[in-house]
Amino acid sequence: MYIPEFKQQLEIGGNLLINKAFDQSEIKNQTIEHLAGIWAAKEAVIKASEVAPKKMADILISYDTLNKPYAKLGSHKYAISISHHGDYAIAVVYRLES
Amino acid sequence: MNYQNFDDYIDSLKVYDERLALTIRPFLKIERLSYKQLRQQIYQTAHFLSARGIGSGDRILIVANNSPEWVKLFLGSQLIGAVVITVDARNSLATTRQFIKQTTPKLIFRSNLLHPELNKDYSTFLINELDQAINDFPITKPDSKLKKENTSLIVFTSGTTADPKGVVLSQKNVLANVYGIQQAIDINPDWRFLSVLPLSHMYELGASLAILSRGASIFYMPSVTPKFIAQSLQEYHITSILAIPQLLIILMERIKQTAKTEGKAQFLTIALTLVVILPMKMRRLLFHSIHSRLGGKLDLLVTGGAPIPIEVASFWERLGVRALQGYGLTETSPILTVNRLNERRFDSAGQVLSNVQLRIANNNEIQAKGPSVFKEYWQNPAASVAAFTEDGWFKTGDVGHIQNGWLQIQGRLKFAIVLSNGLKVFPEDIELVADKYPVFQEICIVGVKQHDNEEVLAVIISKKPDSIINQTIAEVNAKLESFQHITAWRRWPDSDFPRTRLLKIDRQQVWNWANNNSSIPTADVSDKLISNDNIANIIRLSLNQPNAKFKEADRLADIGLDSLRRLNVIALIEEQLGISIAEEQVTQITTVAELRNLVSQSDQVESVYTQPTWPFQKWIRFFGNGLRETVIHGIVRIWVKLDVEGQDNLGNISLPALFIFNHTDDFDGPVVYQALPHYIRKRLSVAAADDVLREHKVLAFIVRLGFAGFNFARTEPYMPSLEYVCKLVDMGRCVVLAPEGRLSTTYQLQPFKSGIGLLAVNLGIPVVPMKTFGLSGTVPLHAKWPKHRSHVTVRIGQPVYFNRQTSYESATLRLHNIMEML
Repeated sequence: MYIPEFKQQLEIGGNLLINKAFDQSEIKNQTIEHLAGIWAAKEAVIKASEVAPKKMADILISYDTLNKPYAKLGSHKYAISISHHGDYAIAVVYRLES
Repeated sequence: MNYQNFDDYIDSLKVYDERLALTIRPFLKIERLSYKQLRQQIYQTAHFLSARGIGSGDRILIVANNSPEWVKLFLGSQLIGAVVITVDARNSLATTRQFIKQTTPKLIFRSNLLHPELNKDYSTFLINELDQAINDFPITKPDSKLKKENTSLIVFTSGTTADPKGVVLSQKNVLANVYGIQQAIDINPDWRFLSVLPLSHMYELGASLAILSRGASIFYMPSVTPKFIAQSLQEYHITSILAIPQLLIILMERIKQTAKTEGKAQFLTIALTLVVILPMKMRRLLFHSIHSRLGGKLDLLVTGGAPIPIEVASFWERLGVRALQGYGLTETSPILTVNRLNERRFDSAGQVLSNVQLRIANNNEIQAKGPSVFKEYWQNPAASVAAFTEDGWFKTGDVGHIQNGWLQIQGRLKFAIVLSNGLKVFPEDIELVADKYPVFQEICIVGVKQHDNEEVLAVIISKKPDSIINQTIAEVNAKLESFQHITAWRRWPDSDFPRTRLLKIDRQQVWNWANNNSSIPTADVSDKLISNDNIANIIRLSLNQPNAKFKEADRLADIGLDSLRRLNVIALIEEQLGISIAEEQVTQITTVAELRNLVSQSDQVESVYTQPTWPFQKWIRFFGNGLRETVIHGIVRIWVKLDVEGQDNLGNISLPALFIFNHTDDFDGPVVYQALPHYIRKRLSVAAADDVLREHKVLAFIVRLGFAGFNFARTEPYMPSLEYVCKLVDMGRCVVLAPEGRLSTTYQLQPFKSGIGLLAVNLGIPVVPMKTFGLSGTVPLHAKWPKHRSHVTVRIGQPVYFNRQTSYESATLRLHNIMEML
């Protein structure tokens, strides 16, 4: 995800976009860079999953006790890695057996 | 009152201390500011600015959406003699940078998310953090030694001809106009104004100062969209709007459209022609259903910025809403003439203010003189000199005439078309006739150079074929004087004309195109109110390309709408059009035409306020409370022996408050109710599951009557229910709800829904946890009647308070933990 473009979209859509794109638990005091990473992870989850989610907010990105991120969509769980470099946020997703 | 300076002005607000000044609802909760609070926060803002090194004569720039903070910042800076540069938040970054370069402000105040790029090069401050920043400063009046000639502000004119000019206005100029408006219009302190135009314009700013000087209230919206306007009219019972004609046209079209879909179009047309004989009050009674949709109180529309079409003004007057037209320019701070409340004419811009002089020059130009007329343009001596006549009158550039004190405006002097015989044609005169023909979506008349003379060209936006347009032009010409005839026409190559910031057609740009064949100008304004093609506008907004071109058959992905942008399109459609579309229906292969189809087929988002209001009426509450205290309480006592612990925790709690309880039994609602003291019970409302109430009408009736209950959604969308809770709290009611969302079948506390955290943080009221013991199984799941008598203990915990910075999730978790420990 190209962060300046992501930022621009948040400026246009405001709270309404944020609430559509993310679950409340994902937003908590996050920076825009962080949210861009979460968005990238959600996009990657769609590509790795067989069925499309009804809503983007259905894909839930959380952190385990070691602060490692993982994604959940329905009953499926995904291992993910999110990195930032300069203006870009990149996510890699691996689907785990449910 | 004749004010010497803003020190005087702010002092004069003291008499309204207890009245409501400014209101906004930034998210869920309404924030209100009394005049006393406003005055104190203006003082705090002045102290804060001084502490930031801003002093008399220093410049600050505000580029932000309307809000109470904007007003505080403006008045606070005036008090210390600082100069405010106001910049329209809809301006592009490049234009904003240009204004900054020209005026070199010491500090820039901007809205969150607006032009963050400025942070890199300038010292900026987020206007939404102002309240926090001024909090620790004294609420006492700062020392100020203001002079009458202090510069108040610099406003850039929306002239697109050359570089915009900065109009320098002194405190004396601005306040003289406030005085002039007071003399002309007797503003009632009970009026409630909805603010829809940007405060960066003198029209809105000057009027706001006049409104506040009379103790009336102003209401702001988080953003100016049709949805928020409709909601605010209802919610705040707005009495008056200061608007440009376009908004009144949009509202008028909506009313006509609603009448059409309800099959009442014919009635409306007939009634509108007949009502002229009725007094205003009777008209309002006749059109009661229309008025109730507008909040029931709207009775004054003040228009300016452009002439209001006569049929639009007369439509509103016939509905029973007074339409008051005025005229002015930024350079005259701004009002020159206005109609009066008891003497209104649709064909005139009104009568001159008592402290302004007007004259009509030989070339019919309107010229003005008086204390509200500006002195100069910012760092532009040539333009400043050119703006005045030799004997010191300001040349407005508008042409008109005055008849018995009433001003009629013909048009802009520079757009007058000079024919070969020396006669002058004003485009506005022709447009007034042509606008009545629906064949033309839009029409703009300009002069085109033909050798030494000009001819009258109509630039047209229309979907009709050439033959029909030719025919219609002939019809228009038949109604015009022969020298005014349209002699040529062309189609405008875009879906809308370029507009000025007040949404007028930008005639200069059209003239340039017609005369120099210059390319279509790039619009600087992406105003959301232009409703010609909402969907296209939303797509362009999401692409951030005001002039993006696409065809109906284009797929969204192909015109650059990736998944994030598509989601934004859905969000914007919901916000601006109030129409909710399922995300899964809009994919990369959806076409523009299919998106339009989805929008036209979708229902309007169900309004939050469709919940019945009768349960909250005084006599219903009287009867309902009586019923609850006797019959329902009696039934509860048969089945439950109740002990209450922790009542002292309610000792000095400030109401309203939010009460939450663990949901272990269908019987717990009445039990929890009964555990609370009577003074809380009588103002308590219970949140009952929306799906259950919809299914069981009798239960719904009892819950509403006995417990002032309301529907609370357990599935998406949650937002309307949360908003409704806020509305009740705002009415002063306490609310009790079960944050688990459903009955616990295992008798264990389940996780809380995150909505409770959102409410707790945003409402800023105490949250009281209550836990019931021993109730489980009194009414087992799906049973109709209690199965056994229970000994129940209700433990009331200590009130919990949250501050704004708490995240919703941690607030939810904290409440869950407290409940578990209780």
